[in-house]
Amino acid sequence: MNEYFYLDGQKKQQGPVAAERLAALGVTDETLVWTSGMADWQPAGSLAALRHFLHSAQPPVPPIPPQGHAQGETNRSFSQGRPRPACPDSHMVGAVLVTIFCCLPLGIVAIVKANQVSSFYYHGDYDAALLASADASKWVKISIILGILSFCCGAGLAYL
Amino acid sequence: MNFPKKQRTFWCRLTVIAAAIAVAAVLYLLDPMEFRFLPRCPFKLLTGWDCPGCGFQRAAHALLHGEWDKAWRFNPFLVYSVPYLLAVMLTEWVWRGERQDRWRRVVEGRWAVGLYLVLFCVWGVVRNL
Repeated sequence: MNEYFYLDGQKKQQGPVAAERLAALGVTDETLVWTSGMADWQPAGSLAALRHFLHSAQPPVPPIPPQGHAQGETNRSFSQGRPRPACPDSHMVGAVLVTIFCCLPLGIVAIVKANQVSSFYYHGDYDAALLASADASKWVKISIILGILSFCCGAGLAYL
Repeated sequence: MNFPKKQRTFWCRLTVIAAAIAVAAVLYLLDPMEFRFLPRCPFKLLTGWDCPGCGFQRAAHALLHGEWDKAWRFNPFLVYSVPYLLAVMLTEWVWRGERQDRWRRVVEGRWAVGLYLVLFCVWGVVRNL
């Protein structure tokens, strides 16, 4: 029997628990769940394997001890048996590059965002890390474009 | 652009590395003190102030010729930021798994990034005093 992870009311990852116990822990059809072999989180109601457990009013079964690592290849330092997606790209390399070469204070925004990616990630807030990653990427791109533009303007000015 | 993400990442990194090598080659061969056609800092042209990156071409030229003391005089920030950049590249692009996590917590942690930003700003002000 597969063990499942689920997201509780605060979107915190819980588990792994045996399928029989999900209903007793408050998992409904809409709760997002994941187990090894699934590509992404899905509502529990959409999984045929779980429907039986969610809709039968059984008393909770005694707890089963977790089985250690669910995924061998994920980062080992998070080894509480939780599957964890890889850290989103922090764009730190680009951010540091633009502070050195673009002569623009915008690079600071990019660095701060890039720093937030890993700090959110290591605090377990994956969604925020993804957002910060997208932001960092955006600011790096803006800085590169403005940097190139201002260099061209600068070169133009110099020859006038 | 519809490249798969992995492929795009690969080309991005390749571009950065190729550009870095090209810039390093130009700066190794040409002395920015003599060759005036190398790009000038737009911030300096507009405001007359040195930005934190100003002097990087001269400093890089000196660094590439092993003249640390000269590089330090042109732009001390570069002597600090280039090794930092290499550490970040190593963390993001080379290390994987547990080692990457360990490095990332330090190199991209609050203290390292905070120090970098503070030095960046302080240096930008101090050099114009």
